[in-house]
Amino acid sequence: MSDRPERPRILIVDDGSLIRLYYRETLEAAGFDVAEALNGIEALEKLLSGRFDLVIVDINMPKMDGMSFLRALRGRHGEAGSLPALMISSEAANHDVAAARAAGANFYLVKPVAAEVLALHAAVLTGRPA
Amino acid sequence: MNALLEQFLLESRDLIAEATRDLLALERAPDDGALIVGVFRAFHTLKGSSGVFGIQPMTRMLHAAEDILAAIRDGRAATGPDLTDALLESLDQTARWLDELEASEALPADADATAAALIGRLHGDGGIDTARPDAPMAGDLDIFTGDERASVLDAVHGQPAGTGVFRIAYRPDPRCFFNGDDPLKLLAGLPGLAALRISAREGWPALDSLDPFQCHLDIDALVLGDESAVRHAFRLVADQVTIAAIDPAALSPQPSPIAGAGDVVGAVLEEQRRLLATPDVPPGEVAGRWGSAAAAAANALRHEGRGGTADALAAALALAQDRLDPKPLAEALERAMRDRLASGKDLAASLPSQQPSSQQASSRSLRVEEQRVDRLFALVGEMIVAKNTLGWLAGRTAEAADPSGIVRPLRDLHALVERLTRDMHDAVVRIRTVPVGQVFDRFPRLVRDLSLRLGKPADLAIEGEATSADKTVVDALFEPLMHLIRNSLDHGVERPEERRARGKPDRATVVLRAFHANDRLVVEISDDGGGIDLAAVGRKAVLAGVLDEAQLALLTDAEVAALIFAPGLSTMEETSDLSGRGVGMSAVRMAIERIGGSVGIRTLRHRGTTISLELPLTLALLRIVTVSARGRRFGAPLDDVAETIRLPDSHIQRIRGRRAFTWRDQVVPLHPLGRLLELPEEPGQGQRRGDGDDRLVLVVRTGGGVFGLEVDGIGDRLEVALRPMDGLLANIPAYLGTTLQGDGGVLLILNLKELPP
Amino acid sequence: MTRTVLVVDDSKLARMVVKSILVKTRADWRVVEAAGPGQALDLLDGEGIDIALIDFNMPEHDGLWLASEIRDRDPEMPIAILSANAQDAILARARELDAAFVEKPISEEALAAFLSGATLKLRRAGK
Repeated sequence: MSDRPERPRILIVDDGSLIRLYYRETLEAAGFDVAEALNGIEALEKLLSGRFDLVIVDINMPKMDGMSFLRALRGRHGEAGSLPALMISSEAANHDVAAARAAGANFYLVKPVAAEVLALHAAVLTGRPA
Repeated sequence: MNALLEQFLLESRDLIAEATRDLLALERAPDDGALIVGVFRAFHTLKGSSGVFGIQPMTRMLHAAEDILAAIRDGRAATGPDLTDALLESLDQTARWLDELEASEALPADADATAAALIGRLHGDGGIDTARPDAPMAGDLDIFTGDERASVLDAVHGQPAGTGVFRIAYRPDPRCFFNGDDPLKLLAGLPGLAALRISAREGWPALDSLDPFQCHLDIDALVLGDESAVRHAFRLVADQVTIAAIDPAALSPQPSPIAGAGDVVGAVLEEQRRLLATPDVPPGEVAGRWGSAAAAAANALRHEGRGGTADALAAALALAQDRLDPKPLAEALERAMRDRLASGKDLAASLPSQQPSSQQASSRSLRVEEQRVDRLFALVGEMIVAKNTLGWLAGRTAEAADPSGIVRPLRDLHALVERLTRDMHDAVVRIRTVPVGQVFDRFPRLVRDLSLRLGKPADLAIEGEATSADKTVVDALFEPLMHLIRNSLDHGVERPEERRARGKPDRATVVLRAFHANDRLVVEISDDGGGIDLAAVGRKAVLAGVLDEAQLALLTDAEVAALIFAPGLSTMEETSDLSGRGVGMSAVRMAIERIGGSVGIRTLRHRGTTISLELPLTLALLRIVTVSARGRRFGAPLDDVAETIRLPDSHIQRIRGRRAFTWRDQVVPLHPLGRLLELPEEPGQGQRRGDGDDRLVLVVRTGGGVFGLEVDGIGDRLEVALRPMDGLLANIPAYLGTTLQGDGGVLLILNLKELPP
Repeated sequence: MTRTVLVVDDSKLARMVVKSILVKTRADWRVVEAAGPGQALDLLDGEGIDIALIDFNMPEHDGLWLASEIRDRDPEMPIAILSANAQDAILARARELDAAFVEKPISEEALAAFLSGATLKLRRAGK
């Protein structure tokens, strides 16, 4: 496993610009470096070219939704496929959690996500000390 | 902290101040509809904004307050002192929570309990009986199973945005059937019914004692839709139903992560375990899945400081990948989870709220009119031009053969810079000017609480709250005013029986008044209480050794009254738990004088007392003359200097070891500054002054009398910006403050009043 | 079983509407009309009224006043207050008087519901 970096890099994948802004501000303030992607396809591209410590992905996106993105991610070899993924959605019905788990999400949050909750989960999932 | 939160804090604090004012006014005028609506709106807005931040305890509490206020507004309930207390307390609690949010961006861990307690108080108090069944709390969804809640959540997201979810508690009147009510039909006709639970109100009685024509049912439901439609459906049985909007997130089967942050790490570990146990994973995804689960779990452990366990997981992953078998990893994970539980979660991840906050809670921002900032901005621009001119001049000087041609432009530039500096100072001062109302606003509440506690009904009247002064002056007023007002209520105002016996109205009046006079800010605290017993003050002063009986006899009444500010006297007053805080009247005097002000008092026995504070409008430019003593330079405020004289040695009289001289027919003591300040003598100084030399003396006249201050040298007169002493030096009486000199050095400004022994 | 219903409303038109619904749904019942509380109270004694339908909005005394008067004489008679205005205060007072509330404009369904409840009550009381 790679060394813990000072500022973990997080990729935010969501088609809503306001949400991306909100997550970015929250996470940057909490000490993370942030990159953004509008959908699954863009996200996969970004992941090819950069090293990340966590991806936060919304379930509902055009072009490629969260589940499909996760499956594609996990299908990659080596470390890229092992990127911890936090899935965020408004669906909280049990069958969706199960589906997310099946797709390979490492954790699941339901909107609306409070800033401190997001920051805390990002810290836990990237191994930043408390 | 993000801009949203900042804005929320700013607006909410304003709303709290508004609501407090209106609530206090409402107590006086309970039927004032406009005030009720005002308070209601403030709570309503507070509640709404708080919802954006997901701080549910606050939202819930504000919602309960809003409901009570709606009941009052609709005439279904009345105000009363208990209820007002509860509402004021809820505002206080909101303010405290805002401070916590500012410091750590989260509510304290006990917020739920605090909210519940306050909600209980709000509901239980004042007998608010709206003839409604107990309102189910927003969190009271336990009656519905997890599946039911989940399916409601599903339904919510099939609806257009903005659809609300409502918790219905319908308790039909037992006789409702006879009135033609059909609860079941009503429910059947509800659009958006998403979950329903019908239960027996008190358990089913035995069949032979069951009256089928009575309604024994409790009906609980979750309904989707918009509020007015839902309320409309129940309008005819509104007195038997409570309808509460709930946050759809409350339906989520996941436990709220805001509670117990230690759970997050545990939850993450548990989730990774489930992840590893999921069957039927496409082979191409397996490696990624295991790797990510191991990474997530290890990170979670590292977050908690369990680096060792995290490393063990990494090793287990390697093993699992070698063997193409998840078991080593799964087992390592389970071991990690067990160890964690066993060692307690003392290394648990904590929400940021448990991290030491680096900020104090007090707000240090200023609301400023844009044009004031614009003016400053313009002046800065001009200053930059002046600076450039200086640079150009400097260049010219270096080259010029004849420097005299530089003198005139240099003088002009100096004059310009002087004007600009003064204007800039003025502009900044204006920015810092705030109305005293900012500080006065905090007192009506104080007076109300104090008067209740003391059993002395009293009203606070405020005049001139728009009068303005520098923020530092206004801020500095709070503590002294608080002490003076407490004193007034504690000692000045008599008990109601006594007041009645003297033909005074039962309710005492304390007036807090501010106005400008002669370029000064005057703040007065007046009460219509018993006035000061001058004879008692005189006696105490003599007992305390402040003066002797002979001196006392010579004082006018006003001077005797002023003795209450003498050090050593005030502490002899009976201390009640309210006024005793080690803050006596002499401390008040010193605090006021420290910011360049003075105190005065007028009192009339049995009629009342007025204490007046005279303050500078700004910690502004002070005119001083620099003086030196024993090699050190100081500034002496010119306001206190009546005259500067050369005193021939022969005019110095020596009386009983002290030195004095005659000035304008007065015999005036003479003190060398160096000795007053206990400065070490410079070597050789003793020899330098021979007898027969004239002394340089500043004749100092202050409220405390006249004396001569002998100095070694007198320098320029300057206008300087006085900065009060702070920190460790704040209590040294000899100095008013400091100022920054042109060469960057700090000049101490003398407090001439406090110098003489 | 045939019953006698008292309809009280100062508007003749309104009384006609109520009566027409009654005639339609309870053809064998008798309908007695009063234009105001005074007249209603007079009719109450002699006419063997079983059920009262009272408009809220009347000049001089409102429907709730009349309902209260009736209650003094007959604690059990099924009474309905008819009004377009389902205000909390009116509903609460009606509840206090053990009177039902039927919203105007009157629908057959709403009136039928009240009448069912009313006959149920009467039957239980053995009337």
